[in-house]
Amino acid sequence: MTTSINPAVSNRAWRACCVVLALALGAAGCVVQDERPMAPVVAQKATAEIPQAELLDVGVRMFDPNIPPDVAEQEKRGIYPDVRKAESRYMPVLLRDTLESTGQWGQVRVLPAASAGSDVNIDARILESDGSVLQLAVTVTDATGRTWLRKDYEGLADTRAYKDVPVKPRDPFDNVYATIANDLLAARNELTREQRVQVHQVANLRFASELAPYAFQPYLAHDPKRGTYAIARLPAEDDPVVQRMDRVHERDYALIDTLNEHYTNFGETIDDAYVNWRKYSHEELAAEAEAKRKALARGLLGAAAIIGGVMAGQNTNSSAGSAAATAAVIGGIYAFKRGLDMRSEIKMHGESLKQLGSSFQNEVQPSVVDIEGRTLELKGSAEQQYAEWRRLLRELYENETGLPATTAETTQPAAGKR
Amino acid sequence: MTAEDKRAEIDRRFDETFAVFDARMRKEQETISQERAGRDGSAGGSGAEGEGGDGTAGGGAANGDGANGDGSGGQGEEGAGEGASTGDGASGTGSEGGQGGDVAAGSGSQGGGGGVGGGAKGGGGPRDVPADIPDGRDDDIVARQLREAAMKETDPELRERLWEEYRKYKQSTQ
Repeated sequence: MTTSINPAVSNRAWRACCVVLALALGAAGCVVQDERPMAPVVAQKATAEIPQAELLDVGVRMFDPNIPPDVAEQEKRGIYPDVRKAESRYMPVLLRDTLESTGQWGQVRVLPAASAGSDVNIDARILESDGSVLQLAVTVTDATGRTWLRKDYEGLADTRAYKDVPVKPRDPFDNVYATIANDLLAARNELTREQRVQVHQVANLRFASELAPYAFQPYLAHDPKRGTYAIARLPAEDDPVVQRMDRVHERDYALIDTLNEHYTNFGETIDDAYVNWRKYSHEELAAEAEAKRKALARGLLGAAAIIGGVMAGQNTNSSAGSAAATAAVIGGIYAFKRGLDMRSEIKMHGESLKQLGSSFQNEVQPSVVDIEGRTLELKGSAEQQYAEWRRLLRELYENETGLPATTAETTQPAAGKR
Repeated sequence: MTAEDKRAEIDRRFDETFAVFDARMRKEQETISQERAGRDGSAGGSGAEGEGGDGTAGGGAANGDGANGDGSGGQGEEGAGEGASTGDGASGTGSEGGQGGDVAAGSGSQGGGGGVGGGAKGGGGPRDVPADIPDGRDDDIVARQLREAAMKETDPELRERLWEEYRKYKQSTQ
């Protein structure tokens, strides 16, 4: 028994099958995430003592949670507002701890969003965070208005952090924080010693100028167009207003330190639940991606078998060939259907992710509300004190100079607006 | 009054307000430490709930201090700080409202508040104010911020919690 096949048609069929098979194999080859252990990025530590005058304080402002206002968009992107709000407070604490651990900086503090700055200020927006991937848009500036870096950071979870081990593991995204710390260090090292000292002096003068502009603005050269600040001249250290201002500044630090205690406490409160959420979210995302991959591969393999079977059927004149072609088509349809059936599994993983998100959101929500309320209370009562200090500083200035404090404080002062 | 006398007077007021502020911070840090100790010591999940309670207590105390702050210029005689943990808040506030002037005049007149305990749950858009919430004319800066946060909040559950914080705060400042 012989089977004759039209060579031209056969070639076309073969090519079509090959394309589909290649797609199927390609899909099968897609892996969600490399599960091999990641090489840890180490935040570079100081090897020598840094002179006090050059030590720069760092303020890590509360991250921008980047929550889309549209609820449908939130659902589509798997964003749970309270989870994001919690992350926007939790992640700065991790970055602060990483920076502190290097010994390269002065005081590293987490600051409320939109607060007056430190010597060096870090702002970040959460672009993506789902337990598998962390993506942050980071901007670092200093008190003189110089931009140190503006960069997006992305990292995959180090899944060792999700394993159940007795010793607390690294954060799954430690590499991201360590990379930011190293970039920050590299940017600082590009400054001269004089520039570093000036950054600190400008930060102090800006603080003072915001509380008592009539007394301190003349010391600062501000270019509103470029958003830069420089020192015009330095005030005398024995100036009575300067001395009182220093005492006020100490209180400002105390306020931020207290707020930091709250943030640290908050981080510790949600830590276990957050790690668990990220762990299970990562697992579900991986399972969902695997199901999608399988569905695609099966669908494509089924399609390839159907195409091959149909083409072979058209070009065979034997009953055995025809039967084989029919079997290939049936098999293809079956495989194709199996691929479609995988969709229910994909959907199931999607639902699990939603449930996980909602459940963690409910768990973390009271802590978020608590920290928000406390921060507001603390800031609120501190603002009353700042208002009183502003008034006293003005009285002191007028008493010392015999001049009226003429610079109108028309703009909202940032100091005391922690 | 000579310039020297005036400077001494200003310094005295600085010292008073610093003392009040320092006491406020100390108290806040004590509260945080207690919470941390509580969480570390107590078993698991219930710790968090307990802390919530502590938190509001701390908040209440804090309010008293906040009130102190506005009037400290005038009175301050209590040497503020140390007394803070016992008597702080309310009394200082009432007597010192005048001094505060633009600072926080409202805090001296907290009589009006009241109405805590209503269960005005849910409903309405972000700007809707629950029926049991007073009109806010006597809100001090903290209450005002809580009120604004609640009014802006779109999530009903979160909004209600913020109102609850507002109620607690108002109650603690009466």
